[in-house]
Amino acid sequence: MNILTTNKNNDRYFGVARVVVAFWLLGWFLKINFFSHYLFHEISAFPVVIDFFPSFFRSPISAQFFYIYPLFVLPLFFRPQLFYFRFASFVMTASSAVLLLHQDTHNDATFLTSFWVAVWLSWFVHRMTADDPMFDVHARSLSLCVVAVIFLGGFTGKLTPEYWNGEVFASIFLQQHYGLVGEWIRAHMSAEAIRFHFQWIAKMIILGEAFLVFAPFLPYRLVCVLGIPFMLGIALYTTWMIFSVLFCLIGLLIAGLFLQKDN
Amino acid sequence: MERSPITKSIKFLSSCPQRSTSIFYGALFLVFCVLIGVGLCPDIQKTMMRKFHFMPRPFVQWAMLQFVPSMYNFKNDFFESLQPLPIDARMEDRPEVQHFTVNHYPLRMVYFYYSRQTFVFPKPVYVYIRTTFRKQEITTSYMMVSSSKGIQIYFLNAYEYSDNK
Repeated sequence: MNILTTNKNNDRYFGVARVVVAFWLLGWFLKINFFSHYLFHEISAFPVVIDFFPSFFRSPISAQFFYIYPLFVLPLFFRPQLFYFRFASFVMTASSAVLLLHQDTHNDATFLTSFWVAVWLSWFVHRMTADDPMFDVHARSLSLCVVAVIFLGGFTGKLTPEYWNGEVFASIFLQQHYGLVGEWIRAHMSAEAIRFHFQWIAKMIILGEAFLVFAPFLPYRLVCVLGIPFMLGIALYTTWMIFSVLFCLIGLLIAGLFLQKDN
Repeated sequence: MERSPITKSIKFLSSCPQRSTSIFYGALFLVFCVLIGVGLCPDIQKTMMRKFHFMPRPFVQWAMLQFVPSMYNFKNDFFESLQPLPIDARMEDRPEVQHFTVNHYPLRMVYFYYSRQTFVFPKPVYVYIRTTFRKQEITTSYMMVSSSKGIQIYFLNAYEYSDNK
C-alpha cells in the first residue's frame, strides 16, 4: 500500500480529490429513489431485450453491481491513503463506463459526465505524487477542457433551426409532468405563451453552452462564477434531477479553485 | 488569450512533456474534433444520429461513440402505433399515433421508466423513432412484443434521407 509522505501538497490534493468524489457521488446517487426501484426491481421483473446489446450489457446483475460499486470508494473520506484514491478512481471510471454502455442505463447522461470526471480523477491521483511544478496548472486546464467538451457535445447538436427557434425545447417542456417551476408555468401559462418565451430561453441555453465551450480560454474564476449558476439554472427548465448530470461537473470546477493558477 | 489556462498548460507541456497528461489532452482533443465535425461535416452528423438508433455495428463501434457527449442533440421524435405504418409516412398527422418529442435516445421511451408495466400489451406495438438534423433524417421502426419473459424489441426497418448533395 502506497502512503504519501513526501509531497508537501498531499493534504491539499487529497482535499481536492475528496471534493470531486463527494460531488460525483452526490450526482450518482441523486436519483436513488428512481434507480433503486428501476435497477433492482423493474429491469428484472420486466426485462427488455434489444438484440443489439451483448448479454453482459443486458444483464440486470451487471447494472445493479456497477450502480452500487461506487459505495466502495467511501473509505477515502476517512483514510487519507493514496491507495484508496487510486482505487476510487478505478471504481468510478469502470462503473460509469459500464452503465454508459448498458442497455437499461445508456441513455442517462449522468454516466457520461461521471465517466469524464472519473477519467480526470484517475489522471489527478496518478500524477499528484510526481512532484510536478506544473501539476496544478494542468489539473485546472484539464478540468476546463472536460467541461468544454461536455458542453460542446450539447452545443453542436443544437445548431439547427428547430432548437434555435425554441420549438424542440418548448415541445419537450410541454410534455413533461415534473419539476416544481415547470409545473407552475404549465399550470399558469398557455402553450402558445410558453412557445413564445422558449424562443428566447432556447437561445440563452445555447449561448450558455457556447460560453462553456470556450472555458479553457477564459479565466478559471470567471468560468466558475458564470458557469456554475448557468448549470444550476438549467434545472428551472427541467427538474432538479438534472443535477445528477451536472453535480460532478460543478464539483470538478469547485475543486479546481483549491489549486494554484500558476506554477 | 495568451494567459488562458489552456495556452499556459500547452506551453508547459511542450517544454516538459508528460505521457499521461498528453494522452488525456489527446483524448479530449479527439472528442473535440468529432464534436466540431457534428457541426460541420454531414458524414459525422449522420454517424452521431445513427448512434441514437443503435445503427453503428458492431457493438464496439457504437460503444466508442457513447463516450462522445450528445445531450439534447438533434430533433428526436417518438411515435407509437398499434398498426404497422410505412416508415416514411408523415406520422404527426395521424390521430391514432402517439407522438412525443424526445431530447436524446428516443427509443428509451419504451423502457426507461419507473414502471414498465404500462408497456405490456396483449398485442404487438409498433414504434417509430425519427432523428432530424438540418437536411438529414433517419427513421427506424421496431416491433415491441410483450410476454411473460419481458418485452422483446425487434428492429424492423430503417429509412435514411439526406439532402446534402
